[in-house]
Order: sequence, then C-alpha cells, then structure tokens
Amino acid sequence: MTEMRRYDFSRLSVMIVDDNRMMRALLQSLLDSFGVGSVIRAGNGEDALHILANEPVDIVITDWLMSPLDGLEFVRAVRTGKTSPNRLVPILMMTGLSEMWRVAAARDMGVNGFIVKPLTGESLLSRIIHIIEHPRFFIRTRTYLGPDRRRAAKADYGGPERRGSRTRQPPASPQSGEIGPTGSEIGTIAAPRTGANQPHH
Amino acid sequence: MLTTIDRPFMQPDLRSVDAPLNCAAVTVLRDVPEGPADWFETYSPPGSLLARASTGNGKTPHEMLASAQAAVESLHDAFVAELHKAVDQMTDTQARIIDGQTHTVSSIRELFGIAHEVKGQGRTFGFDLASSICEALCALLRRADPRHPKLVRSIDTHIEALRHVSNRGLQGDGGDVGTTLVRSLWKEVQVVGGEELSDGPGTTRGQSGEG
Repeated sequence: MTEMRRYDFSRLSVMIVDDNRMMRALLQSLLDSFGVGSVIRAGNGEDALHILANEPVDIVITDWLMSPLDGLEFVRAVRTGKTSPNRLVPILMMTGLSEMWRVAAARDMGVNGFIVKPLTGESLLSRIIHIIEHPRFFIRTRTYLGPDRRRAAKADYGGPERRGSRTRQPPASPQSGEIGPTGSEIGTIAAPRTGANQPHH
Repeated sequence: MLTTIDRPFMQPDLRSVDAPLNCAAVTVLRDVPEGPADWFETYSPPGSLLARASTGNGKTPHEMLASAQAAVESLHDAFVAELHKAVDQMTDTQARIIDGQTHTVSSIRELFGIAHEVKGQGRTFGFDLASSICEALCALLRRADPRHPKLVRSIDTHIEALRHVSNRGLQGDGGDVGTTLVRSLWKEVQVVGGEELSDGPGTTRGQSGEG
C-alpha cells in the first residue's frame, strides 16, 4: 500500500454483489468510510448484470456463494457474455475458502484479485488501491478474456517454450491478493515474441 | 506479425465520455504468428482510475483505515443480532431434519449457507471462536455422507457450541477452552466426515460452493 499518497474516491463507483445482507452492510460501511462516492448493492449475480448494463461501475466486489447466479458465473457473464456491458471492469472475488482449484477457477474466469475472508478494512482498501495503482492489461484469446496473468513478459526471452506443455500452474498464494502481473510489470507487452511469451489460457 | 489496431471494443459504448472504464476505444495488439488458433489480443486499460482517485485533498490510507475501524465497530451489535438469528435458523433447520420434514441434502445445504456466512463474518467483528466453530461445521457438512448415522448428533454438537458463544457474546478465540472445544469439533469432523478429500470441480463434494 502506498502510504504517502492521498486518495479521493468520491468520483468512484463500486458495486457490491453479495446475497448476505450483513456482508453488504459491512462492505457499504467500509466503502463509505473510504469515501467512495457511489456504492451500489446487488443481492446476486443476475441483479448485478442488470445494474452493470445501466449504471457506470468502476470496481466490482463479488461474493462467490450466491444464487441464482453465483460469483463465478457472474464473472463469466461479465467477461465473455455476448451482451456484457462492461467486460473490462476490475472484479475482486471474496472467498471464505482458498482451495487451489477454486482460486484457479476464478483466475481462469478473469477475476482481478481475491479478498479472503475474514474481511478487514485493510485487506479491502489494499485491494482497491492496488487496482487503482496497477491497472492490468487484458488478454483475449478464444477461451479467455480477463487480466493478463503472466508474471513477466520479456521481449528478449530466448529460452525454451515452457508453456508448451499447457501445464497450468496454481496461483502462488491463496491469500488475499492480485492474480498475475500488473500493467507496469509487463511493460514489454507491446512487443511479444512470437511463440515465446504467448499466453496459453 | 504484430499489428496494432484501434477499434471499438466489442460494442459501442453509448455512455458519456466520462463513463468509467469506457470501452469505446482501446488499443488492440493482435499477434497472429501461426494461424487462427494462436491469436491473442492485448487490451490496454481504457480508463484511468488513478487519475480520478488521486488528489491532494483526499485521505491517506491510514486515515481511511481509522474511519473503517469505526465503521466495523458501529456494526458490532448488528452482527450479534445476526449471530443469534443464525443459531435460531440452524436450530430450526436441524429440527426439520430430525422430524424428517425436509430432504436432508437440501437442509444440509441450508445449514452450510448459514454456517458459511458466520464463518466469514465472525472474525471481522472479533468473534473468532464463532468463526472457528462454523469452519468446522462447514467442513463437516461438506465432507460427511448425509446418511451417516452420527451426522445429526455431530451437527447438534456444533450448533450447541455456537449457541454458547452467541448467548454469552463470547469474543476472541476463547483461550484454552476455546482451543480445546475447536479441537474436539474437528475430531468429530474427522470421525463423521472422514479425511479431507481433494475437492475439485466436477466432483459432488466440490459443488458445495464454498466461497
């Protein structure tokens, strides 16, 4: 977290997607205390999609366990749905359990980061600030649309194509955090080497 | 071959130019080295949140967190009420299971949902022991065979432990007593639920949807 910088979130709009009233209230209070200008609340993924189509949203914070549309399906609909109104919106997924396959599934669906419960003001704020400070490039392939997940992309990389096996590496940490690199970390993205650093999503 | 294309993204964005993360114009870097199967596109973020969130008059993260602490404290009583309500709901659901009024699997799913919420919120409000009890209960409900003869009794044990915490408003982890209690609950989980399976997508146990 950048301690010295001052932030004014009054022009930001954050949408909370959670079917638990208490959790929505907690998130609302925390975001209000951060000075977020507009906090929009949705009780499930379906309502959230409707809101996304009608209101400007800068950041989405969604729970995983919801119905009728759960958090993962909601992320899929935002990223790849044909009528999705805002495919590039940063999405933070809240989760109570951090089994590797769940983290990987959410990552593959295109979330920008995780907030592992218990929710704290510090973890929420640090995730929001990270999204603001480190906007991510987005990648679109036939099967994936979401933040670039590569940890590094070196234009002069001359080694073997280690991703050729298509072996998926689990995320480094199941704790609250970002998934993959930030835009600034992959500054060489404009000149990817043919066959060397292509993402295999 | 790398080509740069400026084009509308997916569909035109009809909102005002001030709309956040406007997708109307993005730079697309398209790499087509071998053929259609290998293409990918890179989109640079179309909007800058930083520009809109950075001012000299804002608050530091430290100041924001001080306010956040007050916000959490203001919801303390509401959480206590929610905890009472959760215990009551669990008791009702459990009673319906015992009476055979509802399908056990759907009731277990209902119990899981309630326990999962308490687990996720308890520690935020200082109710670590409540979270720990519900963590064990979630594991039990996730792992156990609904037909296991000891499942109902084991669920009862967890609910009673949570009721104790709720009625006494016990905050923190409960010290040594709390540690012993949680350890005994996890033994129940192990006996009734068996060893942790490697949950994965596509498996029945992986569908409990914990998140």
